[in-house]
Amino acid sequence: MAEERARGPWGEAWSVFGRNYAALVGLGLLALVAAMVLVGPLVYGVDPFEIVGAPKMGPGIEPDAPFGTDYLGRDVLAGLLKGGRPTLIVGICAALITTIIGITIGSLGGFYGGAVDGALGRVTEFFQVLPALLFAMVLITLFTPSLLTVTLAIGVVAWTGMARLTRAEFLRIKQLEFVRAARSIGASNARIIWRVILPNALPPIIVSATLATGTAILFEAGLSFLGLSDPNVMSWGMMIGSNRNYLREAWWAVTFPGVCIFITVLAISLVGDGLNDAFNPKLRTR
Amino acid sequence: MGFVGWILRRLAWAAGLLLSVAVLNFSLMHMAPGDIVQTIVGEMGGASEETMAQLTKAYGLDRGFLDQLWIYVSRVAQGDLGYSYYFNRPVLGLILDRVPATVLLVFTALAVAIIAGTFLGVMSARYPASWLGALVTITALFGFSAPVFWSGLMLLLLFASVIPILPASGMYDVAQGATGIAYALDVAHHLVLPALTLAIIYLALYSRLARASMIEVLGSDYVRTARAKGLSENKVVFKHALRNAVLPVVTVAGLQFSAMLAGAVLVETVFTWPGMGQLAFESILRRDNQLILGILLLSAVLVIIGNLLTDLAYRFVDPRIRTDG
Amino acid sequence: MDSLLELEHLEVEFDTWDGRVRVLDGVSFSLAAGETLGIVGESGCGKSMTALAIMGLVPTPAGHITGGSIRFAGEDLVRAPQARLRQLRGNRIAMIFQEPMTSLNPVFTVGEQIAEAAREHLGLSGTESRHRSVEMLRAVHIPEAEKRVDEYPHQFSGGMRQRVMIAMALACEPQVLIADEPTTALDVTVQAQIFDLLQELRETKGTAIVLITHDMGAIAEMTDRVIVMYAGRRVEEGAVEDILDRPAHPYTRGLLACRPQLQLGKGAVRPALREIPGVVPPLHLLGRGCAFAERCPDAMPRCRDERPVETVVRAGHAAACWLLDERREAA
Repeated sequence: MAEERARGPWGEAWSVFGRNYAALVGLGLLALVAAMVLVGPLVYGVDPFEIVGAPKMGPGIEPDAPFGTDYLGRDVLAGLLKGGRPTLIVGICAALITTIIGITIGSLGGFYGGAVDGALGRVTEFFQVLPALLFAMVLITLFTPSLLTVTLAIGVVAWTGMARLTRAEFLRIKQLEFVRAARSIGASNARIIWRVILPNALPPIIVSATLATGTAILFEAGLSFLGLSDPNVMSWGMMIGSNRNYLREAWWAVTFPGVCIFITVLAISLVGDGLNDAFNPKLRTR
Repeated sequence: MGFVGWILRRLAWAAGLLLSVAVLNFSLMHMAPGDIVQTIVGEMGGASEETMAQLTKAYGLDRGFLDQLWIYVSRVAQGDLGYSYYFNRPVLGLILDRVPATVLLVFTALAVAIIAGTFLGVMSARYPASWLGALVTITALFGFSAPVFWSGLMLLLLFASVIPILPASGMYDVAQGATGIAYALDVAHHLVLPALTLAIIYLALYSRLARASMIEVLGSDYVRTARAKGLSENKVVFKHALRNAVLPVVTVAGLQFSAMLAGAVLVETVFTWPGMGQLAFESILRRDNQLILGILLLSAVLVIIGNLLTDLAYRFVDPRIRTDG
Repeated sequence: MDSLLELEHLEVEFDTWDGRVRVLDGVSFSLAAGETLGIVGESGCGKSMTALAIMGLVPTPAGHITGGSIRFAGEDLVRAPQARLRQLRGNRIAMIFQEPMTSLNPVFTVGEQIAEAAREHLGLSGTESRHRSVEMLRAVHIPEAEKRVDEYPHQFSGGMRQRVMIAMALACEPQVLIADEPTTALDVTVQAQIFDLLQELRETKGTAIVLITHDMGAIAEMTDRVIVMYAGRRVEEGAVEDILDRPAHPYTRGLLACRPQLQLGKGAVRPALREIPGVVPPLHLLGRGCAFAERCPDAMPRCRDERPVETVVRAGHAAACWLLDERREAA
């Protein structure tokens, strides 16, 4: 016990995480996906848009295209390897944007309360009522689909959860003794927000940001599936979308990209759950 | 008395929100490059200066932004959501034609998810050592991680191709032309796959939530009181604990309403379900701006109605809120 | 005197992270019809666990009754099936809890919560059980009982909620009522009212009461006999006058010294408050000897090595302490 305490809360959380079997599996899967997406295209240099053979060729038939070809005769494996990049980049960047917006709005509302909180609460409520996916779709078509517009659109519509969480944490923490102490020695508001409250609110925010990455990846996949992403960049969602009318004849071209998305998001949620358990000592005994 | 006041407050709040939705969306459309006249002219394959000028005037685009905004908002307030250039019909009618299909889909999925999710969660908390707990965990992980359109396609592959027992697309069989009960059954038959697909995500969420909250409630003092009264374990669990354990499920179900509409857009596309989501998708691709604006606004209305229903449900389940007014 | 409820060498063990821990270690007492027995001791001494064991509500799967017996009207409850325990719970034996704020279910009316037990055990119909609820609310002096029967727990104050809890416990006219620190969460004035109510109910209905408390004042006022518990063991038992005036165990003396005593007369009214040094030891760290040895002002080497046996001090008064043994030998 004494040994664990000496490592501090972060060290202890890490040691709990390290003993969490599911979370480690998630971390392993995540490493696997990252390796596949980063290194894969370098090793396997086929262009995912290039027609390499007969269309709708099943996996394992032609050694040149081990995962088969899609309805146009494009190599499915090339798409799987290359198509993860935009999905992951957009997912991570969009999650970052939601986290930044969410933390900003949530912390200001939670810290200042009163009229500021009221106004920001209205804004949050407003974005909660807007149908997120539809609104993102509109934004993207209005300003031409590209990775940037897709990322921004997801970031803009998906931050409300993070804001609510941050606000709740700030409301809770600002009542605590050490915040009052910081105030009594004359720390500025900015300092209290950034250096005193925020570090203590971080654990749930980190968990939530992790899970938000999963959500953003699903969001990106959905948009690409609908054809609302950069048409010149191959992505997993786009593969599913363009092949879905040939589901019966070329199931592999739909199934494999979906499995990739599934495994990626699964890995992220396992890691997120693991972090959550690691940060919540109360739940450990369950 | 308190109830009427509460309803009035909520309605005022809803009106304010809707007004902001309308203003924001209209401004966005205005800011975006290109306008309706260019779209129409594009579709027509070019037009003379004169025609373009006429169109510009007809759509009021020659006026200033604030003028246009005022005209739009005041029309909306009167229930006129504009006109779809593509369908050549008023927007409101077009949307209202599609609302029932979406509402049917979303509510069925929501009901399935809440009932099955709560049941799974409660049973796994009631029998903690059984395989139910593992089932809840696995369902939750799958439901959260699988993209909804993909699980829809996989179900489609399985139940419409490999074991062809369910229809793959549409809401009813046009060839059959059935009416009355036969029609309802036909729609129900078509509804199975889309509703199931949409329900999976939320089933995952609710079962996990219900499990966690049930475990907490089962350890509460009032459950101990109920046991001390000599009630049977089933009465303790299903009467005393269940009602308290569903409270967080109800809360979250309400917050998920907007996300559910998003899911509906994807599911409707996969199963060509003739709802609002599909209409929205098509009109976005066609840049049928008035229709898009109308759909965004009506979706917001649906979300608000969903929130109101949640609050009502909450008031029904939790007397503390009801009697405090 | 015929005993209604009799515990003999009751043992309860719990599985914890630190291994199996014995939370009750040979607890015995007997309770006659209409009698009031007090159980005193600090928090964590096993008072509440004794109550839960009698109710058949030892938390599972961690806890088990591993030895001894609980006889109620001659029937051994330790060996009785759950179904039989359920018939007795809330019917012949009822219990009220420490926390009236959280012990009532927030989503049902108080009337429903009182009526439930009557329907379950007495087979009353809906209307009959509702009448019963109103009657019980009147019995515990809740004004406007007909109206309040349809209200929810959050509309009641703490003291009123504890009255509702008592009404609920008494709905089937039990022979034994276990009151686990019924007033700890309440204001002092309300505490007195609740004790008055319990006294009155005992006199009118003849209910035997097991009063669990750490409040020596309540013991003095309410009980006929007292057992003192420490670390899951019974350390002293006796008539209330003997325990209060002639305590035999150093722990009991310590508890009594903790009571605020008003020194009337000249000078300031200053409560002389003392406390027993130290805390109740973690149960898995108990040694072979007396559980109180570490905190005992009079501990001898023998106390740490050998568990004391019970010595009868006078008729109906016994304590488990080596000091008494010494004294008797010396005499």
